[in-house]
Amino acid sequence: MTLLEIRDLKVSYGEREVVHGVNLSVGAGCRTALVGESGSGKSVTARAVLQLDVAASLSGSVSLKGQELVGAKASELRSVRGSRVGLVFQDPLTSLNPVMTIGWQIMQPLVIRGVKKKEARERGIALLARLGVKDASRRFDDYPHQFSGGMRQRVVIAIAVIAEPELLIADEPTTALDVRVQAQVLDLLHEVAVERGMAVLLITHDLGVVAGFADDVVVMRHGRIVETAPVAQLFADPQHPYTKGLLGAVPRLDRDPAQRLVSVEEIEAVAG
Amino acid sequence: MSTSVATRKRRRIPLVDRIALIICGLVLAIAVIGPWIAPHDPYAVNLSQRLLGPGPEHWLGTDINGRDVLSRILTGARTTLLATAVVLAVTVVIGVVVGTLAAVGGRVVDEIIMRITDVGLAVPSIVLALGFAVALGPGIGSAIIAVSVSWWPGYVRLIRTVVRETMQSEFVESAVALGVGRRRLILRHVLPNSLDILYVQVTLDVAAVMLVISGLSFIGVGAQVPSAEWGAMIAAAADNVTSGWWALVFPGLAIAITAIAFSLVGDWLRVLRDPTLKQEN
Repeated sequence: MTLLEIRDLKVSYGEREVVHGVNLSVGAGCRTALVGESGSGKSVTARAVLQLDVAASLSGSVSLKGQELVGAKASELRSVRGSRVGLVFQDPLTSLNPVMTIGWQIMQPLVIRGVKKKEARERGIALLARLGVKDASRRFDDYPHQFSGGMRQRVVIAIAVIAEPELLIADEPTTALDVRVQAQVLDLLHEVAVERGMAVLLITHDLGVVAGFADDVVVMRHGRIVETAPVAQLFADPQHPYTKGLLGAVPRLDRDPAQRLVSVEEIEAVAG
Repeated sequence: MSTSVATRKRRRIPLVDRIALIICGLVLAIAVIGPWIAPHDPYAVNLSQRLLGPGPEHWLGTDINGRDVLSRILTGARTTLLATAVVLAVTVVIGVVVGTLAAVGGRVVDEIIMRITDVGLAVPSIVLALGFAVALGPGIGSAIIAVSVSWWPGYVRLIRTVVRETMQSEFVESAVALGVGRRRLILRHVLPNSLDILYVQVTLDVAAVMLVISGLSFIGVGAQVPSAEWGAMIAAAADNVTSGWWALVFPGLAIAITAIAFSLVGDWLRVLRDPTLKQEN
């Protein structure tokens, strides 16, 4: 069953169009990766779902289980944000409010929807513990600066999933973390998504991240989708020259060490 | 290297700032308990003891009516500082409310508010105070109203700028993405992250407002002559400065020392808050 259906989405800033007619769908409970180099429009496409950027004008269709979001009223959008679609930001350092405790921020999505403080607190602590934060009940009243980067990103994930959204948009959730912590956070995100039957749209420029995480992969370039395929097929038999180039640019241990990686210029030359 | 120097600087308050902090504390304490520690009645006229120089009985001398200058300074601290506090409280509240409205209320609201503040900034407070003095009658109340009216636009501008900056933060965007409503967004996310600048600005403004209030009292539209307000005391003593300089100089020193101390503390807070300034020092 399709949860998120994007049809012919165009996004422009003033006169400049940056996303040129994107089609994309995410099935309920599925994990889809949206891959592309920076400036490819992947982030803009994903954020169009929640319409956070007032400067962006959208055309086409974004529907969530049949509810049209392009041109939706502010009140409709508010009821989607946080409760049906969660968003994990790239940088856990700047996406947390520095003057509020992390507990306050984790409880907030529940509290603004009328859940009692006591219940919200219990659920928050349980979730934080599930996300691997040790001593969750004690650390619940700490401030963001008292946490390390990896722990902070767990807090950000807790905030995004506590209201049990059907879809989680993760915008480069591990880019700001070091490699070891990246793997932990991704595994955790994967586990939580499976446990809760939550669909994930993962935005990343890192193909290495995609392989173990996603069911489907969508490759974007210059504001257009160049290839959509199940993850195994994409890695085994990429169709579009750009995708082939991208895969060639990933360093691998099983390749002849003497062979050079494909450069961006070479990809550009092949893909046109 | 540079980080360790910076940390050490933050731990140790520079000597000048430490003295300024002590003076500020002292002045505030005097404002509270001044009337009780005054050695003489600040309003008792004693014509047999007029214009006595500083001595063991009257440490800072007596004025033209034989009133003890030290007692009057101690008592007057309350009037001057209370008037300053009222002005700052009023202007900060107006600044936060109106400045936030301008920052988040959309382009039309912003334009209207900013044009009004431009007008407010263009009118000098002394001129405004003269107008209020005529309309309401001279008195410390008129001075407070006049300075408040001319002081609020600065705070509106400051708060507007800071709030707009905070609105751009990622945590604000993230709160919007969670479905947080507008009112909660502003009250719980934007304002708590914007208002710390007020500590600095208010401390710096204590000196400036105090000078204007005393200045208004001096030219006769603020506190009136018999009352023990520092500016009014100077005004009363100005006529016979040759026969009793102490009645003029000591309240003047009180104003100067307090103003300098508060602006030093304000500067110190500003440097604390802004690490880039710290490196320059």
